[in-house]
Order: sequence, then C-alpha cells, then structure tokens
Amino acid sequence: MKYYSLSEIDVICTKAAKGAGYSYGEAEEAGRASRWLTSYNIPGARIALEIFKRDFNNGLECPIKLGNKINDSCYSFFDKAKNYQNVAYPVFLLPYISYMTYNLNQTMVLSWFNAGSSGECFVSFDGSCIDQNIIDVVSVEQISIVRSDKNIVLTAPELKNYPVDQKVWQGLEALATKILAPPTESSRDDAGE
Amino acid sequence: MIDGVFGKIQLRDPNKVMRLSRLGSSHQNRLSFMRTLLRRLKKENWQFNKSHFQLDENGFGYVVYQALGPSKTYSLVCFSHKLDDKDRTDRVIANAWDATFVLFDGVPTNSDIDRLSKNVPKQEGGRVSCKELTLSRANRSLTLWDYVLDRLTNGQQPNLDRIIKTGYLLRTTAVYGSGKFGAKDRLATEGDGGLSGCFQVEMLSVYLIRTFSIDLIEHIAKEIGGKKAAHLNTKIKRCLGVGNSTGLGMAPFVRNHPALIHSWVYAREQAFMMVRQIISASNFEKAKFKSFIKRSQMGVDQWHSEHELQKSKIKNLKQDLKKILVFAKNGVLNKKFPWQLFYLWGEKNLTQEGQEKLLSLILEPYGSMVDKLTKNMSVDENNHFPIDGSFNVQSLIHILKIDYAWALDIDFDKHKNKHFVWYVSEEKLEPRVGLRYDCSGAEKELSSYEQSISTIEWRTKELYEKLQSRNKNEKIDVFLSEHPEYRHIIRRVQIVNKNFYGEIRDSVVGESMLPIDILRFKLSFFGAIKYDPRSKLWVRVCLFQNAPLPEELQHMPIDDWIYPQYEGSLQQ
Repeated sequence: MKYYSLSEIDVICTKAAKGAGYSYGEAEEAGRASRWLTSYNIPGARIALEIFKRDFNNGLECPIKLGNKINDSCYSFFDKAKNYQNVAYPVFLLPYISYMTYNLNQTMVLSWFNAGSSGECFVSFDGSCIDQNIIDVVSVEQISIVRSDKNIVLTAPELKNYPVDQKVWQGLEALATKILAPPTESSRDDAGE
Repeated sequence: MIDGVFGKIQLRDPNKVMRLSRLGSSHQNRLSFMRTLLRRLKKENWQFNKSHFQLDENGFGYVVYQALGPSKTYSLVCFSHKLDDKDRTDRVIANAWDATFVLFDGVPTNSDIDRLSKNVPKQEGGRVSCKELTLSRANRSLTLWDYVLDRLTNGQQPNLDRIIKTGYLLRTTAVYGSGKFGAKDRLATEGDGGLSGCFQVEMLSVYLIRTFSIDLIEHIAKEIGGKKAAHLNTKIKRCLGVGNSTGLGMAPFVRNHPALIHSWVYAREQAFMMVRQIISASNFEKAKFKSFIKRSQMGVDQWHSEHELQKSKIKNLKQDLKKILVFAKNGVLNKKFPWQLFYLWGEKNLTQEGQEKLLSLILEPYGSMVDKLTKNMSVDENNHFPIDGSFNVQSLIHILKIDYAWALDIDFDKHKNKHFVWYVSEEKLEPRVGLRYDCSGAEKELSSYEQSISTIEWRTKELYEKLQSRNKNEKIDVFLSEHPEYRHIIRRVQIVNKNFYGEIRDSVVGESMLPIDILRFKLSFFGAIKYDPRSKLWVRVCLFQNAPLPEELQHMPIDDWIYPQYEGSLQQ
C-alpha cells in the first residue's frame, strides 16, 4: 500500500474515467466522488476502478450515470422518496447525493434493499453517517433517496493521505494513460521549456 | 457596465478584462500573493532561523530554515547537489537540478530529513507525505553565479548593475503544492490555522529559497577564498530575488479553476473600482502616486528581454509611463474623481500594457482601503461544482449569448480558428500545445488526446447550436441525460454566469493565441516582475527582487518594496 493525497486520487480517477470512455464532465465527477469516498475511509479508488472496468449493458445502472441524473434533477426531490432499481455500487452514489444536499440545503438518506439485507446512509454537504455494509455491495435490487429530518450525528470528512493498493493504482494509471500522447521529439518541442 | 465620470463608477467589463492580450499585459499589484505574504509576516512578527547547515566545502549537502509564526512553524529543507553543466536545463523534462527543496509543515526530525533526502532530489520521481506542503527545484543562474562567486571569493562585491539586471542567483523551474506527489492537500492547509490563502505556502518557499541562494554562494566563496572572502553587502542581497522559468504547466490551471480565477480578478477589479470612486485625493496620496510612477520607470528601465514582442511592449510601457507622469502633473489629480478621470484618459491614450500598469499604480496609495480584499481571493470550489439541472434551455441560451459571445462568433470550420490542440504527454505528464492539422489539412492523431482546456470554445458553440432545436422550456437535466458530453461545458457556463471574471474570453486554439499571455496573467497575481518570454511557450520572471530580507522585515516599509528606491522616494 502506498499513501496518496486526496488530490492525487481525484486526478488519477478523473483521468482514468476519461480513459475508460466517460465524458469530461462525468470524469470530473467520478474523480471527485472517488476523493469524497476516500475522505470517509471508503476505498474510492478501488471502487472507481471496478466501475470503470465494468460493462453496464446488462441491465444494471451505472452509479456514475445515475449519480449525475439524481444530482441534476435534485430540484424535483420533494418529500416523497425516489426509487431506482438494479443499481451497481450504490456506495458510489453517496458523493453525488452530497452535492445534491448543497443545492437542497438538507440532509438526504439513501436506503438500499437486497434480498436478505438492507441499510441506510445519511449524507449532507459537510458530513455523513455511512452504513459500512454498503461499501462492498456490488449491486442492489433497489435504492430509495429522500430528504431526511432525522437527528443523526454526521462525521466530517478527514483531510489526510490515504492508502491505495498498488494494483488498483496501476489499473487506474493504465486507463489514464489512454488519454496521454506518447512522447516524441516533436511533442518535447511542444512543451516549450 | 458603462463607466461614467460622475455617474455610476462600476467594475470593468469582463469582456474587456479577460481578453488574452490584456491578460498578457498584467502587472503585479498590492493584492499580489508575494506582497500579501510579506505584509502578513511583518504584521504577525514572524521570526526566521537556520536550524541545520550541513554543507561541505563544495556547497553540497542540506540546510534547514525555519519560519516561526504565531500559531505554526514551517521549515524549508534545502538540498544542494552536484550537477554537471551539461545536465543543467530549465526544461520540464530535466531529471537533475542544482538544488531541490521541500516546505515541511512543522519542524522535521532527523528521520524526516533522511526520508526527504531520498525523495526530494528526485522531484516527480520521488514521494513526499502530508507533512510536506511544497516541492520545488532550482538551477544556478549561468549569467550570475560564477561571476558573483568569483567576486566574493576574491573579497570583492559584485557590480550592482549586473545584479539588478539578472536579479537572481537561483532560478526555480517548478514549485509544486496542493497535494502533488503526496504533499498535503490545499484544503487541509486552508483549515489548519497556518498560512491560509492562495499560494501563500508556495510564496513562503520561494522567499526562503532566496535566503538559501545567498547563504549557499557565501558559504562556497568562504570555502574557496578563506579569510579574504567577502559577504554580500545588504543592498546587493536585497536586489537578489529568485528566478523562475514557467512553461505550459501553468496554463490549464487558469482554465480549470474558473471560480478561483474570478475571485482573484474580482478582488483586483473591486479595488480598482473603489479607488476610482474616490471623490478627491489628498496631497499625500497624490505625492505618493507620483513617486510610484518614477519608481516604476526605474523598474521598467531594469526590465530586459530579447523577445521581439516583449521588447516592443517594454518600449511602449516606457512611453506610457512618461505620459502618465506628465498627465499626473497637469492638474487632473486636483479635480473631482481624479482616479476615474485618469482611468478614462488612460483608455484613450495608453497601450494595454500601460493601462494595466496604471491600474497597479493607482492602487498603491490606498493600501488601507484595498489590502483587505485579499481575504476574498480564495474559494472552496466544491461549492461551485454541482450542476443546477433546473435551468431551462432558454435560460442557458441566454447566458451563452451574454458570457460566451466571444466563442459563438468564431467560425471553427476555418482551420486557423482551431489551429492548436492542447494535450498531455506521457512524459512528465505536463501539458503541451501542438498543431491540430498536418500539412495536407488532415486532423492529426494528436487530436484524440485533446484536453478539456482547448475544447471549451468550440464545444460551447456546438452546445449553443444543439440547444436551438430543443424545446425552450426543457430542463437541462433532461438534455444532459441525452448529452453527457456537454456536462463540463454546462457546469462551466453556470459557474461563469456567477463568476464573470472566471473565463478567458478568447480562444486558446486560434492561430494567434500566445500561451505566454496566460502565464503572465497568473504570474502577475503571484507578484512576478521582469517577464521575459523565451518563446511563445515559456517565460522567465523574477520573484522577490528588492524584497526586505527576513531579518529586515520588521523595519522595512514593506508595502512598497517591489519598486526600486531612488533618492528622495517617498517612504510609507
């Protein structure tokens, strides 16, 4: 394990997302989401890599696409819960919900349901209370997102360096390299100095 | 935003302020980060010492300087290395340097120094930790180093004019911060009670590198010359700053941080507006302004460049400063709204280089009014990140017409308007600018690596055209679910709508684009002087020349140090 700053995790995941075929905007968001998760001691880089490598043509919702959809339409979230079926890596939605809370100025709760298991995570812009069981859930049958008035103790993110498994890092670098031009003598001239 | 003389005096129009040619005429001013840092160090009575000085007879080894503030101590750990002349290069692809540095958060233990000695000399090839804030490197100036060393070794002082002309013994080629290579994240630095504010830890690093450059050359001179060796006299030391070579690495930052860039420019423009709104100037303020014009003239006389474009700009600036002095003596300062009148006159009679210099000069007498604006020059960009999907298509079209008219007017089917492509090379992961088309007019493979910095103008126009066929009441979240490829553009458009100085309102892919304009803009906010473009792609500058030495900070009128002193120049 090597330790990386949150900024490095953000940057490598952004580039890897782009290398994996996501648009610039989606890649920026995926990078920030990985950083956000890491700051809550959740292996954001590892989960991001798994998502980047996954084919979502099998009926599962990609959390990057769904996260953006939820975030963009946050103005339509009122008191009634919104439900989504067959979602991959639901933990990856939490950062997107955190951004929603910035616009809505209210804590939100994500509930997840699978046959035999379920849980709840509370998210605000400044802190979260995350059910640790969600971290390794690869897919869920249903999630539900709604505003929350519950009095929950939320923990603030911690700004420090975090460990990332070297195989994960190399996997991200391999994707990131796809957006980098191979070095040539002419490209060295393009650097100027 | 129409400026009247006695009517409403408003902010300058971003469509004017944020054009590339004007950005490339930017000058340091009272709000520049170097000046902010030294004001703070003085106000808070920071103390400086040298805790380790482990250099051998050749000047190789390490030195640690400590900067002790009211709530935190920072240590600059400096490593001095042997470097063959053939390996000494400012190019970003360099792998070895004369000296490497790290700013440590606190006081390093011997074990920390040992760890850093194995990593810092490797720069991008090494790793630092969240105990460290910045990572940098520097090379000796080929123009001055040997000359100054020879003089000191023989017990003589170097010629002051030569010192002033070059301005530094060491030239940095990068000062990395903000979490790079494992260093502490910027947001963590912001919240730890220490040197918060934009680029303050980076500026502190450079300020202490300056001290190191002087100590290093004096040490080597003493080792060679023994008892006959001289120390640099204080006046000469003060004329030595730190050089810096800046390349394209700095350019994407300006495009990638629109909310932050807005906060910098807005603070400066607000300061300029506040001063222009002053009804009358006191005799002291008038005298001070005139004094700064003369000192500025001295500064420009010391500014040299071999670059044709810059040579002509310096020539024009000299003429402009003469005009400014004559106009200042012609009674305008005795009228109502003197600074607004001066500004309006400048718009008609000065080059852009002169107009931006005038802005900088007009702020000088009003430190007590404008210096406080520096506290607004950093932002939490997370607050600007979420896209507001409730916008409808009509609103977005309206905003695009206002804030991006400059892009909508460009015909991107013409090759000259999409001439350049910005990309990142695998090598050193640094940005580069290449040609989009080959000789036959075909798009090169390079375009497949294009970075978002050079897509904004043409993607924005594409978006505008695409929106024309949509239902005008449709919400943007619906549009985005079909067109995720426009997410970064729509986010940007929404940010710029609230942060109107956050966008370079010019194309960075057109044939006439000069990357050095973007570099100069950012460097002016650092407080750099003596811009000396070495090509269209990189520039050399000088930092902290004329600044008080650490031991002088408490006794110097530091707010005016950046301008050369002349006999009889007005002290604060």
